[in-house]
Amino acid sequence: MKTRVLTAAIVLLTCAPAVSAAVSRTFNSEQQFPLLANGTLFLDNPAGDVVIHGKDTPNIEGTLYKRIDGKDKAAIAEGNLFTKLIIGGDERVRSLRMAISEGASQEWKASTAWHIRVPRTASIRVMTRAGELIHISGMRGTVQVHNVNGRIVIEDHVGPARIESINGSIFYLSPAVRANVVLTSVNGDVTATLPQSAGFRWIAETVRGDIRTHFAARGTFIGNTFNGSVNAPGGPTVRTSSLMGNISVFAHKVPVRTAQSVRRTAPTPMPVATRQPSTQVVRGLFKYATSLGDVRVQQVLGDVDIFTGAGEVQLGAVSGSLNVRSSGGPMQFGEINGPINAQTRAGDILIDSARRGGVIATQGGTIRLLYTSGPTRLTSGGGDIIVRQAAASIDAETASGDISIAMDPVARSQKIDAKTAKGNVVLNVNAHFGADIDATIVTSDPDADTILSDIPGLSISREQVGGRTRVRATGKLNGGGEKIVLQATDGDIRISTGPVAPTVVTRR
Amino acid sequence: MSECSAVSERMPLLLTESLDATRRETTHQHIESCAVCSEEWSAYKETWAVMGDLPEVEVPARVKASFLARVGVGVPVPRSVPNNVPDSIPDNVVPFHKRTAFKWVAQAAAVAVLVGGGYLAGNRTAPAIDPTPARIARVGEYQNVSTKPLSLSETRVMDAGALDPEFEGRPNISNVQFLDADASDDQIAVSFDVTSRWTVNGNPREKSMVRLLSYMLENDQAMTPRSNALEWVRQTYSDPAYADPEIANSLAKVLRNDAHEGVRIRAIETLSALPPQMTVQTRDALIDALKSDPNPAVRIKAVEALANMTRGGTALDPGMVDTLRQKASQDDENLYVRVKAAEALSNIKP
Amino acid sequence: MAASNGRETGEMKHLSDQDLMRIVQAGDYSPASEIYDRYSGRIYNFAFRFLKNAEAAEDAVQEVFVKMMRHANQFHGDAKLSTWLFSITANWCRDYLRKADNKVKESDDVLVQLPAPSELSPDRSLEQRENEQLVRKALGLLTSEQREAILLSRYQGLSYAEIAQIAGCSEGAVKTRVFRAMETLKKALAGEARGGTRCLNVVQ
Repeated sequence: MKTRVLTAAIVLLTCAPAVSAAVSRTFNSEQQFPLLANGTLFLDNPAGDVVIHGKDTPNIEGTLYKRIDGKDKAAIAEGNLFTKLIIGGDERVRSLRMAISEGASQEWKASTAWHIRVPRTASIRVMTRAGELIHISGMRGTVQVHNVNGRIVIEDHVGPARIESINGSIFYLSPAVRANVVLTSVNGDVTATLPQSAGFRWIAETVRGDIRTHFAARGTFIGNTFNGSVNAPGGPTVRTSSLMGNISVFAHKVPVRTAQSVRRTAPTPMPVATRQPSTQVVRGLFKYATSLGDVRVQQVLGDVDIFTGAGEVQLGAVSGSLNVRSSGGPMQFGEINGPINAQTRAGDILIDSARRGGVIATQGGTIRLLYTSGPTRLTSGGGDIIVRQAAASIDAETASGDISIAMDPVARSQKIDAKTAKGNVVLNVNAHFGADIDATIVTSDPDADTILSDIPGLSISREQVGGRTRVRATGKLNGGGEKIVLQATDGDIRISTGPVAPTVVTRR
Repeated sequence: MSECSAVSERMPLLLTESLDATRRETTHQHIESCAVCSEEWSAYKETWAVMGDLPEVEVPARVKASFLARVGVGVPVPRSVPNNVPDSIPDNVVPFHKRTAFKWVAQAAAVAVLVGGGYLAGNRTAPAIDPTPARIARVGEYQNVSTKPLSLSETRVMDAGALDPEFEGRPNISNVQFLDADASDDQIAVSFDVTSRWTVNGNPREKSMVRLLSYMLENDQAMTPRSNALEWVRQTYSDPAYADPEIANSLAKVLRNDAHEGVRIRAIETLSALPPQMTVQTRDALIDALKSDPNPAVRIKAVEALANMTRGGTALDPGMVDTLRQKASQDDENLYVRVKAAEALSNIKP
Repeated sequence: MAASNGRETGEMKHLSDQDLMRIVQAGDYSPASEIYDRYSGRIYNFAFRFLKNAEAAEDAVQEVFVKMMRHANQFHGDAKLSTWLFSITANWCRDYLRKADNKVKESDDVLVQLPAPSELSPDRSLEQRENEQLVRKALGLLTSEQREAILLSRYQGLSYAEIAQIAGCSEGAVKTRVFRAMETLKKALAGEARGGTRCLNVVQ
């Protein structure tokens, strides 16, 4: 079956050279090396297309087109000299490698196109970095291909296959599925065309793309992976994966457009956003869920309810409450009038103003809250917690990092809990702030660290507990007030009345 | 047959794999096609192999015991701890025990006394600069600025240019303050205690200043100064005029080694803020952070920095491409990190 | 004994050579044991094969590591600690040889002092043990510069640049020394496979 994408023509060229090429020359050479029918060919071609046909031949034979683009003839001569074909091995295992020697100047650019025939039953392994096309047809042995950019087309192949690309698309066409086939690309699409009667196990995974097929596949989704079987249970496994691209498994001779999305037949948690909403103003409730995608909204005149499986969430101003959950990605919010529930599994959280406080949590990342006037709980699985101006009670806890809380300058007293399992605690208050302090440091440093307070009234005790030193300061500041509990492990505690450093933030 | 003698001379290098790929190839090619050299090469290989039959011998344990005894390890060494406690301590304060400070190599050349106006104090008005060289205590001003009681009898000031960039011993630096009295000029100042208080002022570009800041970033002191040093470095050294690879390398070291997650997160934030040509040198630190930092925020920042780099056209070497590819395919990695890794890869130009 | 800088000795394993040396440079000797463990084997083997005398090699190890501790300030953090240690060792060994009554004794007492190879590793074949003897004899045919160079290259895996630093000569000189050493060793050792008798009376 031929589709538009196939090309049987000799491919001469490749990527446009970065050097401003005034001159260009192509050097042809005919090559021939014996290869056993069950031999293996390793082909390493950093730049250039590769076209391989499987035939009944005892050799690897064909033409090598070495193209050098350079600024002048001398540059081309140098390019030719420095670009070499390195041959290794024997008729059982043959390695062919295009190498560019070190010490070359940068005034030329080389690429090599291969157009060769090899024994049909041989195994081949092709590696390229930059080229427009790798085209392999008629093979019956193991085929392995790795590339970074460029399209890969494998045609009329039966046997084990492992085709891997980073940005390129993969097309795999086979008259029979008799062995395991793995097709993966990070950013490109993956397409396989197989016989209608083929029976195989099918594993398909993609996060952003769709999964479409002609086959009636019976299986289940776990997360982003579909695991099922086609035509009969068992058989070899066909694994098609693309993080960002689409997966298609077509049947020969069936029109492509009739393929169905597997996501429709199998239950999936939520739709995938194909385009991120990037809006200015939303009136009313803003409710949005996506398994993958950023969310950026400037202003919401209402409540917010957002879920993203992975992505950044950026909201300017929210007049109502804020409920945002993310399985991964940083969050940045402006002025939030209603209570906040912001949780991410990974990433920093930056909030300008939380008027009604709330719960702010990350499992790994720094939390910066510039202003809050409602009771706030902040937790981090690892990272600093910084509250620049707190006009309400604070409960802050991090597994590893500093906690730095500055009270509103006119606050007279406030309940504060700050606990870090590895780091310092700094509390900034005005000189008249009243509190009942209970501050504890646990450290393994025998020259134990300090609890410092600019306001008198604390008494200190110190004891060794199981090889660790515990320093505890208790007492009343300015006659007493709300209860403040501070705990730092392997760090200092400081209660300071001095001016507070401005918090440096990087806005996204 | 001079080629044969040249090849013959290279054979030991072939055995120790000290030849570059091209020479290795051409040498092997000659050997394969020359009967004489082939035979000699076999003999070389055989000799090398036979030499391997010389066994490694074990050092007798008594040697270690004598050595340790001679250097006095295993015997508690009494150390004198200087009492650097300020005169008037409120009795609710448990003072630091400072470790013994070591020789601070510096040529005194007091230029000016910089007072007040600490950046950390949030006050950026230009202070009066007294041009008379002095070791004058300005205790009053310092007390306004600092958040800790400081009463030191002397303040020493010097110009960064006079400071020897090689530190001897391992001076214990504490109570660091950063000062940028006048934002419009390119002078900054760093104050710290080493037995007594010093202020070093100069241009951020000066090697001594860079060295000083690198030292502060890398050394095991109380965390707060290190966090502040990080903030300061980000402010000062993201200006391309001042960018210095040593600072970038210090940040990379902090990123690699610091046990505190907050510090690592800041280090990588700062690294990302440096001009691109600096981060190229610290690519390895970013890649390693992406590969194995346990904190997802660090991995996120690492992969975001890499995505920015590739978007800006920086080329990636195959090792980096591979790490990004692995991250993108790693099932148990946070999806955001995976997606960003894919984004970084998608920027690779053919 | 808790290290006086608050670090547990177990943690030393994770510190780099540079870090450990910095601790020593600050006056804290607690890394001594860890550094010794890392490098004493190599230093000892080099000294032993170079001097062909176990007692002298033991002295060498001690002197080298003591010097390392006492003169730690001479170590610059961006160099490799191993190179520095080998330099000290090579110097010490050369001084040792220069002293009149310390000419290299190719003594079979050395064999007696060490446990016989078969006790060390019962799985070493007869051939390996024979080869060991041949190699030792062949190494004895080299000049001391050649022996130093080949020991550092073949057994310690150092690059020619490092060996040049340690031996105090140019890289070219190292190359020549290694080449000449290999020529001698080749004549002495390769030939068994061809059924020829090994001639150990090769004169340079």
